[in-house]
Amino acid sequence: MNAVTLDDIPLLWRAESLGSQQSHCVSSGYEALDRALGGGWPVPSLIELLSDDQGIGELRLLLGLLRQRHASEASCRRVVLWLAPPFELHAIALTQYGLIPNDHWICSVSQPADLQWAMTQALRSGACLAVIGWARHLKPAALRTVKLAAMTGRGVGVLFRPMSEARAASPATLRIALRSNAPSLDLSILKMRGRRPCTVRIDPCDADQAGQ
Amino acid sequence: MAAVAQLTLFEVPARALRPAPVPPSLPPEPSPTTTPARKRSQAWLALHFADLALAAAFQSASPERRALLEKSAWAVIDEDRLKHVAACNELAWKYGVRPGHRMNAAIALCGSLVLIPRDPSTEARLLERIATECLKYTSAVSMQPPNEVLLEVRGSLRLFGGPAALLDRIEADLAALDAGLRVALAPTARSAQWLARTPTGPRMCLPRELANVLSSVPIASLHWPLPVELQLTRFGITTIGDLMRLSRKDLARRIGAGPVRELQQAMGRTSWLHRGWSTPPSYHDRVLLDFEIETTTLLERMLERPLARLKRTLIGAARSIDELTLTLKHREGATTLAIRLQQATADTSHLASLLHEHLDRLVLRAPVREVEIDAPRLLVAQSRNHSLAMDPATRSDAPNASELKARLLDQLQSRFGVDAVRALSLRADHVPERAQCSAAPSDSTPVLSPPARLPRRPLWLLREPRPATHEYRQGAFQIESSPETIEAEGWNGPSVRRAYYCARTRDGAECWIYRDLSSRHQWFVHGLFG
Repeated sequence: MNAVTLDDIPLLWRAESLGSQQSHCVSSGYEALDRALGGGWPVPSLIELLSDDQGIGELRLLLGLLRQRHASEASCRRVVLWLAPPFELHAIALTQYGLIPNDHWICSVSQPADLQWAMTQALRSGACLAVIGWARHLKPAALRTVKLAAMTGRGVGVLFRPMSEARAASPATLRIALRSNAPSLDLSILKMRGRRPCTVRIDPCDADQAGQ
Repeated sequence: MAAVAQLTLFEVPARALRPAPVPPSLPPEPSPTTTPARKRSQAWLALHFADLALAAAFQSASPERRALLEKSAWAVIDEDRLKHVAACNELAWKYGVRPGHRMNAAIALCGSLVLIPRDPSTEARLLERIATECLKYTSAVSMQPPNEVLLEVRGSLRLFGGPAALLDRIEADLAALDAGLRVALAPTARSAQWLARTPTGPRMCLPRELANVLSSVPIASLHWPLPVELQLTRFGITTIGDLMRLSRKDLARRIGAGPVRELQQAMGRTSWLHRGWSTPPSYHDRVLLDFEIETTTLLERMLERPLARLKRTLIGAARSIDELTLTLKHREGATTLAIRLQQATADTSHLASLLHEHLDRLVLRAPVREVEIDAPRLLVAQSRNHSLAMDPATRSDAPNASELKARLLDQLQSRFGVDAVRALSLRADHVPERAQCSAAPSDSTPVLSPPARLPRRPLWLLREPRPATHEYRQGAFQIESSPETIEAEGWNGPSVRRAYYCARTRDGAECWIYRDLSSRHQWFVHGLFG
């Protein structure tokens, strides 16, 4: 017997949700960031991370989001889909951070239209915990489609885009620009639904201690 | 296709019509009435297709030929020595052509008669298709070649709103076939079959009226062998009622045991054993297009109806498929599209979305004239209880998660190819690039756990180690850790001796670099701490 509460139905919204934020948060594992985001990563959502460099702690930033299933869905594991990642994922590192490599699907797509299609389908299907993609040029309409898909499937879409896109308008729930300030990472929150833009400094090495 | 795992249907005798008065002088026999009383009464529905040969010939004709046949007088000719007419259409009937005429006589009556040779295999296939369609009314379906189907519908009467509504519905569903359908409902299979064969008889018969109704059925409509029929006519017997007045033993001596047994079966005194029809182990459908199709969008629209037909078959028979082959036939050659599913499904909307991806990528090399849909295996479907709430809510149900994953994988693979999606798994090896492999996602991959006390590893691994000796000499890397030496002898691949360090570049990125100890102290970047 499955009891379905009204909150589980993604197409249904309450009038009171217009006033305040009802959406669920997942702790990012970084105290300063959680404070700035009002509890953690918003779920479901479309998150845009703007960065020109790799290897500055951009994946460790997302670990809290990828680990969330252990608490909520022990029986059925949803997958994480990586679309067009710039390098290979390192399976041993994933296990070191408490993730299961087999739940990480990698799909290499070349065209932006394909990426947008795959991201939309994966988010809408409800089979994915998160879909993480690397894209350069995406039109606002495409972003809007992806965001709607994330809302329908109750997943999180993460898009890595170059810093030059910071000035372009975007319908994403959350936009963060990442800048390395070795050894820490500067996050300037450009847009967050229901909150003010601000700047946070975190140390990615905090995740290393937490995971091991 | 007929050699299927079949269920055998037993017909139980109907209720005793009139308990025979037992003469008091005789010792009481073991009464047979107790056994049938416990058994449930049955309701048999017979479908008789008088013009099955015509329908089969018409359906297998090409579209141009169909247009011709609709306008002209035509007949189906038996392939025997004298070439008798097996069936003819209405126009030919008007000219005086009748089934049973010799070919020459028929041509003499109608000079423009179009003759089509009879094809028993097409008729058998059509009858099989009808039997499969009938599985949606009941699961007890029995094929009676050449042109009849029997259904036991006692349990379905209430569902379909009573006997009359069910008969109407079956007639309406099969009207498009135009095969001279007559249906009849009776308490026994044989009586239903006889009533369906009688053009003037009633189409429904209640158990208590069985004897009355049968007694008015003419012998001529029973399709008994011709010598038997002639012999009975010589006796002056024209209806079943006349036949029932005769002694059974004498009758059997004169006309043989077969017809007498049939009579007993019709009255429900002996049982008749049927072979049940169940769904064939594979599915085949062929669509002849009325015109040549040049665009895949149009083709997709055309496929909607065959897919709906497939869905009806699957749901009616409680089957699901895990593979579907679509053959697009051109004037010369054919294009084949194969869809393999991760999990068997009966949901054709999922199949349609996969087909859309396949057709989207396809460039038609010639116009399509004919489409064939094949499913090599029909598997027994796992039925699942759906929750009452609206569809998107069921997505949070735990048992659905693996199905959702399978569907997503199907979608991605049908757009990007089978090898496009990979899942990571660990392998027992010391060399970082050999310690993991990626293969198509599956649930059966064994889970290895890496050694517990490994130093920190980067989340990003470069596909090929990037030479960085020059950059290193210029001081681009600032080493931040003590070395970790990894050595492996050449069991699977070249032997490796490396010293790994964590290093930071000038622009703040954290790298995983190594010094190759075996070849002249070269430096490489192998990963990034993402």
